[in-house]
Amino acid sequence: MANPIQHAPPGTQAGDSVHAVASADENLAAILESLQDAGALRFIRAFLEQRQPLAEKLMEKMDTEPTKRGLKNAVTLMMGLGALPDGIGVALMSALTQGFERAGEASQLPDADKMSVWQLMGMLKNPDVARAVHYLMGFLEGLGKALKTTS
Amino acid sequence: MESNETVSVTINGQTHQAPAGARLVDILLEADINIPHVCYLPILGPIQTCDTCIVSVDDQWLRACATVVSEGMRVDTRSPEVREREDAAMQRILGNHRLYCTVCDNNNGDCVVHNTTELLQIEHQTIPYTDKPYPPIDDSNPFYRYDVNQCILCGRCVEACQNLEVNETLSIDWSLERPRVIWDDHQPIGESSCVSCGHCVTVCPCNALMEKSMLGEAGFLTGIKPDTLLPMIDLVEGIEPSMGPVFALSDLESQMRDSRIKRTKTVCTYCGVGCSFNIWTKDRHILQIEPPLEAPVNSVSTCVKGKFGWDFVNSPERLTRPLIRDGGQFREASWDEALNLVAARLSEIKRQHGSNALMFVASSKGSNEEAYLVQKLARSVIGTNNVDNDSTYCQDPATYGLRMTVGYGADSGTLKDIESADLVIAIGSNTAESHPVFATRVKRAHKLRGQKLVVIDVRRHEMAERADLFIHPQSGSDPYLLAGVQKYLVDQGWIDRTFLSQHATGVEEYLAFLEPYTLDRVEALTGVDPETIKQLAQMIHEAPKVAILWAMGITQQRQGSQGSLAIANLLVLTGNIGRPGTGGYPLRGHNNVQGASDFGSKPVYLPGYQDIEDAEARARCEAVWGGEPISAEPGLSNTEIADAVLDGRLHGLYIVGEDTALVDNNIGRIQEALQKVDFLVVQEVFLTKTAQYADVVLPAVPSLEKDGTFVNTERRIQRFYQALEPLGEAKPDWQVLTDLANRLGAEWHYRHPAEIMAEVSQVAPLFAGVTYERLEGYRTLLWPVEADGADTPLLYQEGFHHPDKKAHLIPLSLEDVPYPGSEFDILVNNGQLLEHFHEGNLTYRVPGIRQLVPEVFLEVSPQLARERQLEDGQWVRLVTPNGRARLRVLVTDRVVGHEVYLPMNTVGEGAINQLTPELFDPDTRTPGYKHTFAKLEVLDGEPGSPLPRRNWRFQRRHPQPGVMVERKWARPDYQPLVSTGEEEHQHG
Ligand code: SF4
Ligand code: SF4
Ligand code: SF4
Ligand code: FES
Repeated sequence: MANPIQHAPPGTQAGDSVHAVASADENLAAILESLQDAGALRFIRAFLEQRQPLAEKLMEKMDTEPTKRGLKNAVTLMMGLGALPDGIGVALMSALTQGFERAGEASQLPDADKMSVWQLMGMLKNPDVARAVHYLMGFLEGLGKALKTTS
Repeated sequence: MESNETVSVTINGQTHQAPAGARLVDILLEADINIPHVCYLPILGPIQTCDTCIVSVDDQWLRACATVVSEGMRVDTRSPEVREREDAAMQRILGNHRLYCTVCDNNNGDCVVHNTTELLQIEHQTIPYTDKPYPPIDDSNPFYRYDVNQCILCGRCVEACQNLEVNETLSIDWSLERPRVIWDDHQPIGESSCVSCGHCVTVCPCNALMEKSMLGEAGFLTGIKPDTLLPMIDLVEGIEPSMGPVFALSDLESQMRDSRIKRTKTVCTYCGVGCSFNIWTKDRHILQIEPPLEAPVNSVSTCVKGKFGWDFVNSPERLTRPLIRDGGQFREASWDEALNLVAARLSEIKRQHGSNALMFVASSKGSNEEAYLVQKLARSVIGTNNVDNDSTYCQDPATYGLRMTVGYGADSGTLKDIESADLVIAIGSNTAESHPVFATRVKRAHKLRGQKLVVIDVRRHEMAERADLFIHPQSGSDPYLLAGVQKYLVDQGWIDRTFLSQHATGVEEYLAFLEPYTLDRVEALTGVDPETIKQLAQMIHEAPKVAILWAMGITQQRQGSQGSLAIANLLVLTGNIGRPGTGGYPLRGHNNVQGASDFGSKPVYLPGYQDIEDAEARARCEAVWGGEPISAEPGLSNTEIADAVLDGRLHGLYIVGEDTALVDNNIGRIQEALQKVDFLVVQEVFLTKTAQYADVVLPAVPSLEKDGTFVNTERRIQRFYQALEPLGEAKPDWQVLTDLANRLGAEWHYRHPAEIMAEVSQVAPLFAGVTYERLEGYRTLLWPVEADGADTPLLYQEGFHHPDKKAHLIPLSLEDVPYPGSEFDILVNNGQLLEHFHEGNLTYRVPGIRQLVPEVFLEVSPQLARERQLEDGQWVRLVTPNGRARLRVLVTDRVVGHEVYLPMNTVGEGAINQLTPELFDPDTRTPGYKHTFAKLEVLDGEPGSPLPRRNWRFQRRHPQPGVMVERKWARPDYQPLVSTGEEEHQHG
């Protein structure tokens, strides 16, 4: 006589673990790591990893006319310069990497999670930074295209 | 209308040949001319709301989607003037939509608004976006939400709801200052007539309608809370209204998504329609179901279960480890221990009691390859023909009727034939709820093309409401009704004598059999008046092409086989078989109940319906399989299990993915048998009622976690691909069966289901040309499949499947129909509900479905409610000689008199099979579930309806011809871009 047994012993069913899918952040980390391997994108990483607190802070601090104007200039400049020059040279890469290292260093500071990206964004007003960002945007565009053609 | 003729068209100075009747937009796209076409989707036809497809044709401005090519047409798509107008049309759209692509969950490379803006290289918006003056989000449906501010008013959703799904919920209210999509008469979605089929969400070209499962999940940045997100979007727009950088960044982000979102082609695991789609997953999270245009059965169509019913895959109750009964408990075991035990016990039973003391049940949800291995295990390793599947409970009578008459026990054509019939007769089929996507095409043909629809049923369901003729015969009397209408057709000279003389045998005997079924006699037997029968006959006579659909309302009668035979005879008698647009269509219930039988898990058939008595077929199988010789003796069927266990013939049972303890009729008796059987193995995804009786439970995986093929109700073989890793230690059935067979001394070396299919093609001529390569992606094959891969969408074009190539008319052998008595005076009808499937083991594990339909209920008629003073929510008990069930009442005029309807979707104390009788169809031993007679006892009241009042069944639909774009054109604020007078609204 086999009476029905209504319960499976602990550990033999999926339980809530099945919902513990790799979190968005873990995913993000994985992708960004591969991007970093491919040429280091710490800037984006810093931005993405802290997206929630960062975004709130951005809103708080950046929604002012002078900031907007500055950013607008920077972005217009970026666009005006057109597409990424042919072949990103070693020099350009190292320039970018230096930039990333600055961002990285900044984020090591004790109050980094409060200030680093804000500082970074503030620096967009600096024409040198704007130039670098232009290259970064071009780089991203090129990377996007490259991903498109390889996928 | 397309034809074989072609016309020549000059496009941008080059000459192109195009089929006469084709739409210009299709020709342009085929020629790789990238014109925008935001509102156009081929399956929906021209909607003409967006004007982006504007072209110059012979110096007129026309919408390419609504223009049919004609000889000598000169088309310009490139001039600056065309560009200007395209731009103007797109700007109007962008005034209704914010481009925050980088933070949008729809930024997956397929957003039509994004891609069109990019295609047109729009840098600056000329019509500023403004919010619409409505609450921005309606998220009252559990599965999808509408964002009115993102809605571009293209009308695709409306067209899909009105004319493809034909649920007729959606419209655009063009009379509003700011038009918007509305559900019914401005109802919240969750309180509307919406059936959550998802058509609208699938066809929406942007993020206005989205699956909730996508929100905050698809993108890298889309999880940002709206409080932050909206000001951020404002900021970005404030900084940079030029779209270039925004698009550069969003394209990159979209590309990045590709590396973590996996898109896998799969086939629905619910009903027999066999919808196929891409499932998007991110790890184990199911983001969305995306049915692509090219899906061969369904295209963009789905029902609520296929579109949204997948959460069961991640249910915490999934079994992940083998279990062994130990005293009154299960204990965890390793695969080795569990399989060794199973092998030892099966061998022991075989040794002690012989091979026929064991029985195997294949799953109608498992793959074809798995059904094949179950029967191979039974036959070649154990040495018994005791192997069956769920079809015994439902579909065998239809198979019987068709095999006897026309030769193949399956649908004679495809959904395309049903769509193109002039008359569809649905008998005992609640198609809109049980085979929803089949129903869409019938409803569409009925609405748009004037196809006629007759419904014969005991319940006034949606199809009955829509029918041109609804006939409610005495329950179980359908074979008499069918005989009566045939007799009348004969008397009127409305049968196809030419066809019969060339293609049928047994005609005179059959006509003689029909003789006594006069209109009066049939009225006495069925309760259907002569005028109605005459009207039905007249409709059959007048329709050049008739297709008949039937389901369990016929097959689960005690005379299910005779009823099916009557249907097949009617088709032959009127020459309505073997031609496009005609034929007989038994609608199979489970996704692979067709395949489980096709691949040989039947006690009387080897794979491919080779008779077990056919020595040549047995030899063919033995040569490939080795092992035990195959007996010519038919084995036991599912409905013989209880008796065979209780009288000591069966000692061991091996059940793969079937909840026998709930789906057998008279479950008291089968549950007793499951308790008593010496050894029970259950391969399952959950600890089902049946698994609870097992000695060993082996954890299986659902289709998303393995590769394989299914056969849908059309005989269409379709591949599904693994989307997720098996959960825990659970394994695909084919692997478990292989491991077990090898422990029993076989030498099976399958590494992939493709190898199993390759073997099937050697043993079953029906599948000679079936290979995985020929089934790649969305390619399919409809059996029989020749060795060269030629398949057979429409059967019998070259004659019938009998040695004489003729159809055989077979007289029916009819018995009296059981009627309710004075004590058991309630007829308990039963069947599916749209939202749930079968007993509900899967669908009750989908929270959104539970929200729509949380529990089972009993539909009673207003008359019965009056007689017994019943109100919604009242508890009642139904008592039959076999058992009892406790249920809450729902009063509805879908049922009449003393007929009640109990959906089969429950595993609890309202389970229908506590009540069903031990009556069987003599030809197939399919239970006569539909002859359940009960008495009704009134218990306590509980206020409120057991079905939430917001459910679509309580709402009224709002039919419209379509999106009614003329109303848009008539608005004072609409400035035509086309040359006026050219608007037309066609349905393609
Ligand atoms: S019934 Fe509902 S889900 Fe289906 S198309 Fe209509 S509104 Fe959309
Ligand atoms: S909700 Fe409907 S009308 Fe609005 S964009 Fe989507 S499909 Fe078009
Ligand atoms: S349950 Fe049937 S109709 Fe619904 S999506 Fe699945 S196969 Fe299609
Ligand atoms: S594609 Fe929208 S009007 Fe033609």
